[in-house]
Order: sequence, then structure tokens, then C-alpha cells
Amino acid sequence: MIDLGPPNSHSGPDRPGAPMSTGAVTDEQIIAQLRGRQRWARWVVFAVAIASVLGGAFAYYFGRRHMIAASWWAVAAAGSLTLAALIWLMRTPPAAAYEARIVAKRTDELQRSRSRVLWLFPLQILLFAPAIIKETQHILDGGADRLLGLPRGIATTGYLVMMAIGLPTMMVTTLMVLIGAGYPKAIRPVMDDELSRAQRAKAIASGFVASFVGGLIALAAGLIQPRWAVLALPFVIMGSLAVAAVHFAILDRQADASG
Amino acid sequence: VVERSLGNRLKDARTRLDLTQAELALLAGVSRKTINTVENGVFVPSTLLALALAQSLGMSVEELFYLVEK
Repeated sequence: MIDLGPPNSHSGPDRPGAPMSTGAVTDEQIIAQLRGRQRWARWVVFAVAIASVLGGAFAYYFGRRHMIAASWWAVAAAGSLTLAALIWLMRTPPAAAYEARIVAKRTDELQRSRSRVLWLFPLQILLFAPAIIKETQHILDGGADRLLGLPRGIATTGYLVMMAIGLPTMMVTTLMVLIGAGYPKAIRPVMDDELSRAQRAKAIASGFVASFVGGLIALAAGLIQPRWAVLALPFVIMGSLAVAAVHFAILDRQADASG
Repeated sequence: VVERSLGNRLKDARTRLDLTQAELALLAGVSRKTINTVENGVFVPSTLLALALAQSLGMSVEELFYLVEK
């Protein structure tokens, strides 16, 4: 006889210190609550992303020079706030949301949402590309401060913000999404199961090949014109991450469809 | 060197017990995708996972998996 586990509802304390439930709550209700929160989170991310891009673009192209740096700080601040909001949403789930039984029922959903995030990586590179090229050129030209007659440090602030926050954020996100780190403990096994580990190994191998090829191209370009190598390196780093991320997402989709 | 691959009777065993992939996944404590890829020979499970699947279906590993020599 196959036992499929406890019945489809529960009551009582969900975790130490949690209040007693007033009545039985079905798993489906808990999952519906979670989905409601995810919808909110998606709207928040979407709204902040649009506002950041529009605000940044406006300041960059129409604002006065010192607004360029300010726009980058605004984008960074908006991103940090969004991240904080998302962490709060994940860390304060509806009662019992992270019980093994509920997580097991949401495995497919959780893994699909992981893949959806990974598909966005190439888009992130495209969004960052113009700014990376422009700011790197400023620095390579002997300092944009002198070139543009700006107070020291202002013109390169954008680049520093981007490199100090943008790149590490992308790397951390890749690792989080690929490894399953940073998720609540109950979800980690879902994001780091045996199949995920096998897929990740293949994806990271692809990323390694991409970084090797990209590095060679950057080297060759640098031998012709040294500044080209410096310009290419951020793209080699981000490109390698994106290759790994997209390969993982492709493998995940194939795993879903191979039936 | 003999080339070998892993064959399995996972789908037969699962359907005989009238279980869906999701239900077997729940029993074995893995994702449905894992069951799907193992069934289709896309993913070769570890010994641990093979034992867990066999146990969940009330079979031995040898009944569930077999070697295919090419």
C-alpha cells in the first residue's frame, strides 16, 4: 500500500511561536496565498524596473551632467529597495508555506520560476551594455573628470556604482538561482536536488567554455588595441554568467518536456 | 571497453501502482522533473536516488533498473 502522506489540511501551530490557526486551512489555500504574494512581488519588480530605466534614461540623456551619477545611485537605491522588499516577502510567508508538504506540491512551480529568472540574463547585459562601454571609455580616456571638466569623481561614479553593485548582484543572483542558496531552508532542497546539480554542472561547464573563448577574444583584441581588451572584459564576465544561466534554463525546460 | 547505459522499468512500475509522476516524486522526495528524466533515460540517477525510487515503489533496485549493453 502506498502512503501519500498526511491529509490535505491542517490546523495548529505552524512553527515555534506561531499563533494557533483558527480553523483548518487547506494546502491549496496556502498555495493560493503564496501565489498572491508572488503576483505582488512581480508587480513591484516590474514597476521598479520600469521606473529605474525611465528615470535613468531621462537623467542620462536630458539631465545635466551631474545627474548621470545621481541617476545611477537612484537605480542602485531602487534595486536595493526592491531586493529588500523581495527578501521580506520571502521571509514572511503565510503560515505553513514552507512546510515540506507544501513545498513538495510546489516543486514544479518553484523550479519553473527559477528558469524564468535565468532567461532574463542576456537582457540584463543588453541593458547594461551602452553604459558599460561609455563609462569604460571615459576612464580609459584618462579620466572623464578632466575630459568633461567635472568635479573629480563625479563622472566615474556611475561606473563604480555599476561595477560595485551591478556586477556582483548579477553574479550573486546567478549563483543563488543556480545553487539554490539564499532561499528559505525548506526550498533549498528543491532548488538543489540531484537533477538540478547535474544540470548545473553542465551549465557551469558551458559558462567556463564561454569565459575561455571570451578571454581569448579579449586577449586578441587587446594585442591589437589594448583598450579593446578592457572594454571587452565586463562582457566576457557577464556573458559567461549568461551562457551558464541560459544553458541551465534550456536543460530545465528539456527536463520538463522529455516526457 | 563495453559501453553501457541504464534501462529502467520506472514507468511500468509507477503506472502499475496507479501513481502519477508527481505522486511518485512526493513519495521519493524528489522533483517531478527528476522522475520524468529518469523514466525517459535522460538522467542517470545516483545509487541513493535509485534506492529511494525502488523503496518508494516497493521493489528492489535490480527489478527497477537494468544494464543495457551496446
